Amino acid sequence: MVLLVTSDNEQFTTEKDIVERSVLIKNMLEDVGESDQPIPLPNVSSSVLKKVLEYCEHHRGEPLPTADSEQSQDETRKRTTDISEWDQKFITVDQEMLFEIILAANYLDIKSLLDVGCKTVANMIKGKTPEEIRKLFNIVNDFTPEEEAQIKKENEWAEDR
Amino acid sequence: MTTSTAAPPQTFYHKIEFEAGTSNSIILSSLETHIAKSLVIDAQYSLAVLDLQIAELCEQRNRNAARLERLCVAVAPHKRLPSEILSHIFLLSADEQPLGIPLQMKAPQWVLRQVCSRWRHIALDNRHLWNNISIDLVMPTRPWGSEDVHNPKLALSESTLPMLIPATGPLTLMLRGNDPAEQAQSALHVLMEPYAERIMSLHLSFSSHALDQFFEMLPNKFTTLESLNLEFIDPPSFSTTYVCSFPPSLRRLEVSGHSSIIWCFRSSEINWALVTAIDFSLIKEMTFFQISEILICCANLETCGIALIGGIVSAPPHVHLTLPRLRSLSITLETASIFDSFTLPALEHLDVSSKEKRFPFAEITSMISQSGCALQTFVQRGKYKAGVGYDPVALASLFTATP
Repeated sequence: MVLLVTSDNEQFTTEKDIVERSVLIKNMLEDVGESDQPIPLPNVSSSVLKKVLEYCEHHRGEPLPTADSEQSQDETRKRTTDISEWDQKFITVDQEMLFEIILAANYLDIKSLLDVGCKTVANMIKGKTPEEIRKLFNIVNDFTPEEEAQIKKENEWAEDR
Repeated sequence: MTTSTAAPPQTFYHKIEFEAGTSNSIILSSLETHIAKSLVIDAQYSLAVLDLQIAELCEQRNRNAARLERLCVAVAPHKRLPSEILSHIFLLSADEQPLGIPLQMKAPQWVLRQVCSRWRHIALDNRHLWNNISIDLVMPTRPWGSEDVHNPKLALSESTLPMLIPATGPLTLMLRGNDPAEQAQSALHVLMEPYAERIMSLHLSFSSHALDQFFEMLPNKFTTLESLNLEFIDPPSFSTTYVCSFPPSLRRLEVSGHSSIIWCFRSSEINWALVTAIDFSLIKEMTFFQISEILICCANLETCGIALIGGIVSAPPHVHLTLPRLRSLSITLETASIFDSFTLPALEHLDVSSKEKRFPFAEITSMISQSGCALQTFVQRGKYKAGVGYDPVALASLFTATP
């Protein structure tokens, strides 16, 4: 069993094969060897770690992506935004939690979870206008007058279809 | 004697407001009119006070709404995403789609550069969003005699392309057009030649006559080209220039059009041994004889897709093809006799679509047995009635033939 301590000082005890889906934790465990020492996760809060562990538990036993498979994916530029049914249900959370999961997956180095999060955000962006995207993510239009002028000029080349 | 200071009865006001105030025929007395006028002033004042309060509340509401908006922006979770993750999300949202020219406002890449300053910079810095371009020069059918009319899409593409394409790195380019040969050649020259040495993947859909100059440039200018897809929208004539050779980087070739386009590849100088993947499945009415002349030179071929017609043009008995590295063969055919002409020792995946009434299990089994290949997947296609054509015994013997 592995003991994890979150940024808000909550402790989680979990099985090694679940938590080793995180490359960061796997490497830490390899470094410290057999030890009861808790692993501090200062960048992950308890509510987020709970979700992350739920994901890891569901996907336990599945093969981890290798460097080769990642490279071949890059080479073929395979960027499909399909998400499995369970993952889709799992990631149906509020925007704050969605981005926290992405950040945690990035920090903990869980490639498949990072993918699910990124694909979800990508699907939210797809088909929207700039204004709709701003509204969805609370983004302020902060273009400088020079940028605005440039955008206006660029848009003269684009068809509004 | 007493004087009455009591207020007028309710009925008095009722008459003024609800009877005379809702009728055009009831006329008030002078006293009633006097009182009514004072009531008007009272009502106007009270309304003005309310308007003022409402305006103040609206203003307060707007201030609060703006404050809320600023606070939401301040804590917006997307801001915490590192640029490299946001950049990856942008790629996913573009979903492998090339950026089309003429540009469309709705194109995902175009939208991303107009959201905010940070997103614009991240989008512009991500070269993968801009290195896959599809240029459409197709014009609606022109009236006879107007062939010389300038194609406005060309001028637009010419001015837009340099603005979009990243300064360095490999490119994927698709160009389609239906201009007459001379204009199309000029378009290819203007749009493609400046980037020729950076194009890794190229798809051209043009009249075969428009590709003469391209064929000449192909071996020497397209020095990093790995994948070439040629879509001939009409059959070539005897005057069409043929492909002299391929650039040494070329690995994948896809061709579609009428079978006469095979003549564009008749040069004995073509270094077919470089090519590891061929897809000729969209060449219409190709014979085994035509393809065999090419395949016999493809010593390193790993995947191959072909569609053949049969009848009198089936495999001549003297042709035998040994493709030592071929792992995947996808074949659509009218005659089964061609399987005798193949030895494919590395074959792992076979996809056969047959137009014959009888599916050529025996011929395929014989080929597998003769090749000694370890077939892993087999796909049988064809228009068969239920229970006809699918033969489990034949299928079992087919896999039994594999080591």
